[in-house]
Amino acid sequence: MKKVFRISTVIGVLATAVVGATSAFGGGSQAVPDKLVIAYQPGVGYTPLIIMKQQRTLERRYPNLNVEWRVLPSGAAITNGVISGQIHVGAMGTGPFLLGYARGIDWKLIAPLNEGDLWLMAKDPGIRTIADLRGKRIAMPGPTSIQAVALRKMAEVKLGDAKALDAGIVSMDHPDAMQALIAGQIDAHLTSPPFQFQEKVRGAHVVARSYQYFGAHSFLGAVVTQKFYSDYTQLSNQLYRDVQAAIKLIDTNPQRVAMMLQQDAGGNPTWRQFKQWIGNPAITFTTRPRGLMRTVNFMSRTGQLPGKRPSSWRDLVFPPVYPTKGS
Amino acid sequence: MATATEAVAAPTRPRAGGWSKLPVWMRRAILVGALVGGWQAYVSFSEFGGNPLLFASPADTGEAFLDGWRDGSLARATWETLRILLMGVGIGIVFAAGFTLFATLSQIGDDILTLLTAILNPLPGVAVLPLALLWFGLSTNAILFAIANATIWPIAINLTTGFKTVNPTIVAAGRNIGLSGVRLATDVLAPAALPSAITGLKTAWAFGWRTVVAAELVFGVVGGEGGLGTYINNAKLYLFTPQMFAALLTIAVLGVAFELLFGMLERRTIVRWGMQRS
Repeated sequence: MKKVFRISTVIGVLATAVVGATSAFGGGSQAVPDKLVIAYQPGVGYTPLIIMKQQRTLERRYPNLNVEWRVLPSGAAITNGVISGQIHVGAMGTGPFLLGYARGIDWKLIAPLNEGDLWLMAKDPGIRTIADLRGKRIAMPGPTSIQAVALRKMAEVKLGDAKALDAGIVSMDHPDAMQALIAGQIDAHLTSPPFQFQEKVRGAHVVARSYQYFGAHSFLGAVVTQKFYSDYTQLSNQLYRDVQAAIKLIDTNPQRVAMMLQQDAGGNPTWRQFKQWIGNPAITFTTRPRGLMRTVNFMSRTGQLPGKRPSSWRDLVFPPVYPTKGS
Repeated sequence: MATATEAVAAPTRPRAGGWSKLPVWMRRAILVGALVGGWQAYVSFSEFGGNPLLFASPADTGEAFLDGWRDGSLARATWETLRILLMGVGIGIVFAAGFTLFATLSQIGDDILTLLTAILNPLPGVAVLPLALLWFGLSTNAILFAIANATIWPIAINLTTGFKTVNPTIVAAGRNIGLSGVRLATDVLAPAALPSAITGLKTAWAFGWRTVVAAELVFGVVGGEGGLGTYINNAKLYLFTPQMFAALLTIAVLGVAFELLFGMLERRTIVRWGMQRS
């Protein structure tokens, strides 16, 4: 009787293990959701994703997968979409990503996209330094954007108070803010490629660059939740490899990429313009996260990161990103 | 409030058992308790409600509410919203008074007011905001414009109706005892038109209140000191869901407070004068 019991236990354990393993492979890593919603924002920083969109990389790899691309005005908007489960892959700046992590959203970077030098642009020739911006209206996607983090660093270094310019923050998406800056409705715009290049051409000048204050730093990345990663591990890892392949294409055949960007934009701007933009040293496409912990330390020191703190950059990324030796 | 009590006590209502025998405060306390209980149950037992990023529990909301009032952030936001609202409604009253005067004195004025009200009154307050932003830039003036537009028309139309529908017998009685000109206007016409004026003011206040909160939400953060709409927006941006609930609670409490205030005003004036039943 005892022996029978033991044998049945062993069989039971084995059976459970087999079933568990099958479901881990079958349900866990091979599975594909019915629908995959990927959200990003305006700007050439999202080029790796736009390449995947234009090449239909995911659709061709997973014929049953219904992929939907959405362009939203801010990382905060994408954050809300991810929390409510309407967006599966969200691409955003480091600011909203780190804030969401701190506030308890169980998400990490599945694929960092680039490093970016963010320029603070002004049109009034009287605005030459950070100090000239006191009491002025400065547009950016929102008070939690990476641009706002950069502005606070600038304010801390030049004015001694990270929040000195907060009162002037006006929440606007980059295309609107560019029009507002040129029209003189706002005084300054802390922006991103290609808007900073366009504004420069249209008569605005650079007041400050984020690299001067932070050093080169990660700008954008694609995030998924821990739950999504556990449920669709293989798909997520594939996503990372596809982003890597897209970045390689930017390096090896920028003209072809520029043509895809032109097509995605509906014909205008031209591919020559796009090629110039993605080749500008203000943006470097790479899946290696850079300066994440520097940003974390600055944000938490100045009270911008209420909540959970990562102990190293590895806490902020999923396994495919580990080999990049980020920071 | 007064009308609610009256409705409950109305003799036409079929007599319920124990419930209507309970004192008013106890009935309300039980209902509020049930509401909070249902809220807590939703937080405890549903997946959506249990996600603290999406939904705040009554306890968390209460804590955020008390913290917000203690550290002054909710008080500042409330005051900022009320300040803009009072300014906007003030502008609305001045313009409405002008329109009413014009409309009472001349037929063309009356026609113009009727036409403008028909066109502009149905516009939701925030609908004119993009235009206001274009005209006034990103400033408080744009919000004031939107509030003024939302308040002028309900006040003006109610005030005009109030003056038009003054019982001629009362006016004749006033003349009979020797009143004329200003005395007739202040002692007979104004009090007679007061019920309509109060209705107009109440509607305007409600419209303005909605407009100012919505306008602040559209604005995001502009110019440092933001009001309750900005407070809600910021709480959303920084994912402090309990603070969003606390700000909504504040708005609800203020709504009840103003309802009581207008009720008091009515009891002091038109109810006491026998123009409206208590």
